[in-house]
Amino acid sequence: MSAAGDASAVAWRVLCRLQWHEQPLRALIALLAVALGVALGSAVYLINAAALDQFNQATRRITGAADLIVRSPAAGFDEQLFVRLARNPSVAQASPLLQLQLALPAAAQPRDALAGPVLPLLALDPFRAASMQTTLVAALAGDVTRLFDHDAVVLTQAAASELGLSRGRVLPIIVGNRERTLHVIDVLPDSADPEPLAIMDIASAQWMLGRLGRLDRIDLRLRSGVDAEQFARSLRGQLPAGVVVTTPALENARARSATRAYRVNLNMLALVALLTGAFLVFTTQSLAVLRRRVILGLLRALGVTRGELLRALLAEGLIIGVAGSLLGLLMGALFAGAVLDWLGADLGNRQLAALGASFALHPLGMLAFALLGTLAAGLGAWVPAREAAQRAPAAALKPADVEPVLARLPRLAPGLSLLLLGGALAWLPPVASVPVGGYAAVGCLLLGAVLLVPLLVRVAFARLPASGGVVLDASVAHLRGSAGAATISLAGVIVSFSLMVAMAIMVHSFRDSFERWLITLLPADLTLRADPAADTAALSAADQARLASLPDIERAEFMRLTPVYLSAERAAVTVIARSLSPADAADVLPLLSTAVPPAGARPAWISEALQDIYGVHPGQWLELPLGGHSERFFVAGVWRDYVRPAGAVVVRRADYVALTADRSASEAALWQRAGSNSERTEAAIRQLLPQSGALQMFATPELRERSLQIFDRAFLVTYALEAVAVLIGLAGISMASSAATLARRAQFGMLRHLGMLRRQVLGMIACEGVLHSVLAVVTGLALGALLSVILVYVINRESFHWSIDLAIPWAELAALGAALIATAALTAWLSGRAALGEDVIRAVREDW
Amino acid sequence: MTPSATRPPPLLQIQGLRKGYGERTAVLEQVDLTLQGAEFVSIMGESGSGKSTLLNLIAGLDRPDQGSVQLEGVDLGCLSDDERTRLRRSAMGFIFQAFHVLPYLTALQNVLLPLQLLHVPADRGVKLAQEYLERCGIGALQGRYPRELSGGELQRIAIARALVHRPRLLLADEPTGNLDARAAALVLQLLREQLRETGAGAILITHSATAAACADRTLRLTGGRLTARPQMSAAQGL
Repeated sequence: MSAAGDASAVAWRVLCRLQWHEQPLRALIALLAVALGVALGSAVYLINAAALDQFNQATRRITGAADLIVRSPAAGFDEQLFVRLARNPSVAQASPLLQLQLALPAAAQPRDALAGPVLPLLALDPFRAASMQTTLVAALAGDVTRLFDHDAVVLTQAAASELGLSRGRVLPIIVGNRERTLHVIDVLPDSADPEPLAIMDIASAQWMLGRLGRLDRIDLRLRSGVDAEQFARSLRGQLPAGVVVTTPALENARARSATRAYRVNLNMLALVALLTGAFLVFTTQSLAVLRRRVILGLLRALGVTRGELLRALLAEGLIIGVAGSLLGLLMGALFAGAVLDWLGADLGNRQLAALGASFALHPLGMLAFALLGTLAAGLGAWVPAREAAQRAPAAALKPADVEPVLARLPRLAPGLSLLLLGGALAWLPPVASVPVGGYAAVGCLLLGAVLLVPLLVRVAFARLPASGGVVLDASVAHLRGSAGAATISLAGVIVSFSLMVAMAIMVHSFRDSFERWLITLLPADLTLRADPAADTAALSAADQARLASLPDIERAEFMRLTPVYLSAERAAVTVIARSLSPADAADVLPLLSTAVPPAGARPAWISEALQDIYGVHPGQWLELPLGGHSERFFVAGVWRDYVRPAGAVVVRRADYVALTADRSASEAALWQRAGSNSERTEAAIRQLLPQSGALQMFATPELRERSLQIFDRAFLVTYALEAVAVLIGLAGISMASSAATLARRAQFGMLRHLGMLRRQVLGMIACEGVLHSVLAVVTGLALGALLSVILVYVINRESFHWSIDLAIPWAELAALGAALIATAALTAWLSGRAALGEDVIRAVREDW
Repeated sequence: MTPSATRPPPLLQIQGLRKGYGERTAVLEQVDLTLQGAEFVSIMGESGSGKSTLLNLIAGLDRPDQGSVQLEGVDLGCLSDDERTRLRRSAMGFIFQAFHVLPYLTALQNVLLPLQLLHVPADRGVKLAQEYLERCGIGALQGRYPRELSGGELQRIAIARALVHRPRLLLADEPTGNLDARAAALVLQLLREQLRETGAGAILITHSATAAACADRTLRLTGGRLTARPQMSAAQGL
């Protein structure tokens, strides 16, 4: 080892001994904070990776060896297309399929769910599928011709377990609004497919499900030498409207893009926890530098160079970072495994449900998080290390030199520049539906605000007039004179509190907007609907007529929801056919903008998601594939939709029926006559539609309540991650407060000598805590409000394609602020009590 | 009326003071000391002889195992912690080896502190503090912060702070311990002058014979007892 290395190592050993022997708890808390940040980040990453892996595997199992997939949602297409494609000279093999969600009777429906039970169905031709869905078909034991029985169905082990069925049992399903039964002829092992799935012969399925002559998917294997991309392009022009051709890779990419925004959001929250951990390392190291400044000066006086001292101090932070990161990876892996076992991979968001997702380590991704944790801790240690190394040894050895930390950091210009840059970045457009500019803006605003904290402290406390009371005046004088040290503790508090405020405002705004949206969208007394995920349940025209004529029903409105593809690369858009006209659209839809349709034009009202994703605006024309043809609709308005992130479009039901001849309905809104009660009406409906198991009936208040419960559940993970960030922040406050208080024991001893009562000293410390936290709360509220504007209008809007109105939860924010101030005062008081122990008198004899 | 009834009590009277820590032999065995008003006494002793312990007991910062400390006839042992603190606030002044001026206050604000604790009106307090800074020869430095001052200047602030509220008793614990010989001599001279002007009594704890020689009489603390030490001049101490 070189001489320089030796000196650095000696310095490091001396400093570490001090740190670990004198303040092991603080170093340990900083280590745990980094560990927690890395654990959250890596856990969210591993859970996301497991969900995506699972989705990829499921797609691979279903698509098998197909080169191309021709598909159409819902009503599907005429099977003549299969004949045409099978005869195409470029196609080696074509496999016709029906891929649907079977509606099941609602007996097993969970109480808090809005969706009824459904079971994915894959109906195939076993002989043609043998070379495509090889794993599935190979698993069909014995004579596959048994599958040709009209009511035969094979279940995967997961489906059988979930439904409590076994071979030879009956599986009831809902077709239209009637119950039919299938016979389970076999149960496939998990190795064939670990997810719930029903498999039928295609002809039997067409017959049983009332889809004779219809398919919704054809898998194609091309002859060798045929370019798949080129063939797909040539095919696109020949397909009926609404039928798209995709590749397995495209199917995976679609799943990834559909859930990317939510996952990025979770990762960002985990990074916030990591950032707060970095602040804690910064706090620990800054206070450690402050406490050991004489030792640092001594080391410099003994011949340790600036560089060696910098490296030694940096090494301390990096050791915390490495140890914290390794511990964090372990915690993250355990946490991810437990979450996957107990909660599944959707993290509270039903859109992301990936049943059967299993835990797997992803070394590269985890290594990235470990590096991120180490880097964060290193950065946290670098600022105080640089300050300490640059300080003249004589100054460090001088008594009363206690205010060096952050003294040299330039702050005003970079702080203001970062705030302005943050404001500018917020206007950048999203990148692949991820609000990169929005996140960067949040980062810039936070960093800019932190850099402005010392200035803020000076300005805020310089303006406070003298009260004449020695306790308050002494507190204010100390705060005025310790702006640099105050930055250390205040920065972490302001960051975590402002994020807490921003999240509280965003979630409150969202919930408030969502509640008002529910009131607009659910004006009726009762809602009757087929599971939106089920493709086989519906109300027939006759059912609708009977419902409308019930004596307790004053008015009934029926809707048909059907998915259509507007693009092969994107998820299906929901077409909602309902009774409305341009004149009354504003009364029944939460419209945000409108355009007057020209005479004779068919109007359509698109959701914000559709507007954003497809770039269609009011006053423009939109092509919708309905009834096998592409039909032009005039975009008469944009409305707010919180349910369908892939996009939705409302059309007049009369137009829809005219174009598709489909008179069935998937949802009914029922208004009761005055004086009738909901229970009696519900009983009458059940009597009218005795086999309406797949049709769920809700009284509107109940539906709204359940919707809000689901909303709250979807934000559970967000709340949990936020709570962790806040806890780390609070740990930072208490650490900074107790360390700073202990470092001032000699001052307190001197004040006691001068005749300050113990309670006056404690009052002074508590006053400082309160004044500090009031400043943190005021700044955090202002910064949090600013961040919430970016969350509401940029990040949320660009991530999920829906707008929300800003609403401030005043009472909640007041409670949060009061809690923070009380915590800070209490922590300061407790630290003060510890610092003012019996031997505080002797502290005046310690060299400080 | 007897002569003793009219005579005011001594400024400080210590009788039979004993103090030990845990199992250890008592640091102070039997300490007796009487200090008349305006008397300046220095106490010398080796490290660990109990000098600082004695100072803490006199200041009411610690309680003796036995014996009593009376300040102007008031027995500190009969007072509560708050009462002792209030007495210390009004009747005592302190000077420490490490100065202990508050780093975030200016020289003037540091000197103002005892007056604020005594609720002296702000304008009168500022005038007094400025007067004492002037007396200590650092009037021009009143707006400076401790980090901008030398050790000698810091100790002058400490002296001004210790005397500004006109205490009856000044307790100085190694006040020249961190100063060079020249600065120490200046500080001692200043201390002596100020004691004479204010009429306060003082106890000076020191290792330095030079410093001890500034006092009216010098005592030695050995074996837990105070014994008289032959008086010598400052020149002899040097």
